[in-house]
Amino acid sequence: MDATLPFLPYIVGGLAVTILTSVTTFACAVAIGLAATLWVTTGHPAANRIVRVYVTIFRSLPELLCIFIVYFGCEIALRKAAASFGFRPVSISPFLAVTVAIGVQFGAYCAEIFSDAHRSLNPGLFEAAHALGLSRRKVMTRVTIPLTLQAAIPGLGNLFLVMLKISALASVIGLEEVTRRAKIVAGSTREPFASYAIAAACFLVVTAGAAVLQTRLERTFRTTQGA
Amino acid sequence: MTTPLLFSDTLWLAILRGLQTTILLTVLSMTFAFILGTALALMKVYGGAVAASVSVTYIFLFRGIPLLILLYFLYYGAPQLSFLRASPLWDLVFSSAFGTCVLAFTLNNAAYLAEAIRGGILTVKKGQMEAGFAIGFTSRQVISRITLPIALRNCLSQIGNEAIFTIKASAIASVVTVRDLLGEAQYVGNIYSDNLTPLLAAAVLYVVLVQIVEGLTRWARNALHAGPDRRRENAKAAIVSTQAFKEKI
Repeated sequence: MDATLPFLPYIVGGLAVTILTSVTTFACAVAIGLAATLWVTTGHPAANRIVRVYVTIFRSLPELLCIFIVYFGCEIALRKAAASFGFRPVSISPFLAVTVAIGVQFGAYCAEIFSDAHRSLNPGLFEAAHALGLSRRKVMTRVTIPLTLQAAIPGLGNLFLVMLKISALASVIGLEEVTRRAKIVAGSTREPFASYAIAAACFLVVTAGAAVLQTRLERTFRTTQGA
Repeated sequence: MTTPLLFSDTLWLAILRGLQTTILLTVLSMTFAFILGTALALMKVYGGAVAASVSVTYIFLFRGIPLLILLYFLYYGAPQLSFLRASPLWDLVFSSAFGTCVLAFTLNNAAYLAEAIRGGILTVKKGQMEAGFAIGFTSRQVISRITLPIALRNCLSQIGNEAIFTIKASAIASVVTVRDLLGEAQYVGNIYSDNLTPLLAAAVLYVVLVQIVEGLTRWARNALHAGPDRRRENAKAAIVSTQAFKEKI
């Protein structure tokens, strides 16, 4: 334990990377999920089927596998592109790979959450917006999107908690967040017990904080909806 | 370069071996987690203050810690404890990566299953339990013969979801050298220096596996909910609960 303590700030500092990764991937997933749901609601004939296939596939792939496929796939694609265009091969950053992999994967969950939220809304609201003479674009940006987002808050909160924990997987491809730093410290101090305990405590604090934030957010929005 | 490997026996035999490990990991950890999760759920709902707070703390801890960190903690950290190395648990669990993975997945899964089963228990109508007491069941009998069967049937889809999460989470076992579906795919990929093809092959099998579990869950749910017995029981439950409701008024 004594050897690990000096590294405490180093491990806890990894939380910044953890939170940044989670927030970025979450934003990515929300954007993808919202786009998929809006596409389905436009009633395009292929939209429903394509989105369903997307959701089915990405809900059943392990997150780690997804990260590896994106990471190695991009690596190979970049190497080939570099060879054919004659520039020096660059490697993809782990952060980018994780953002793409987890963002696309959790976009599937987001699409499900949003389509449930959209279904829970009263169709009369959209009819009312049309009756007021709003254009289709305005109905979407001023009625559909805000109401769907609001109805999706509980589901999105839970999803964010899941994504916080999933972000630990990014350490496997070398992103220096809490888990990776704990592993590095464990390797150099030979005290894995202490350093992983610190990492676990970091995650507990962050998930507990996020859960409190989620409850508060849900309460705020429930009251505005009731008013 | 990619086509020959995709159709080679080596790849698919390795993948099938990995599939076996993945299924074994999932079944073992789901079974143990189911037992532990049921106990935790009962503690949380019916237990006294101490039992309930133990259960709440457990669920908070193991739902908050990422599975990967839990696995690292048990795989790298636990062997540091000398008393653990001397205990019989060592040979059974901690000496192998596979055993450690089963333990980690069980601990993690039990927390989620406990919440799912608790949700099921809360759907059991009070009148159904009162009916049990009225015909002379002890509280142990009421729980084992009335509450749990109904509760488990009502949270079947959540349990199915947990099984799917476990299948997906079991891929993490490959990080600590277990050769599961993902582990085997990476191993073959390293031999043939083609990282992508085996991963894609494994991805297909994961999708198939999850679809099978999903289908089984749906089948079990329909089978348990649609039979004539169930309908009669439902009607009975409705009558009992309305009576209980009237009594309350």
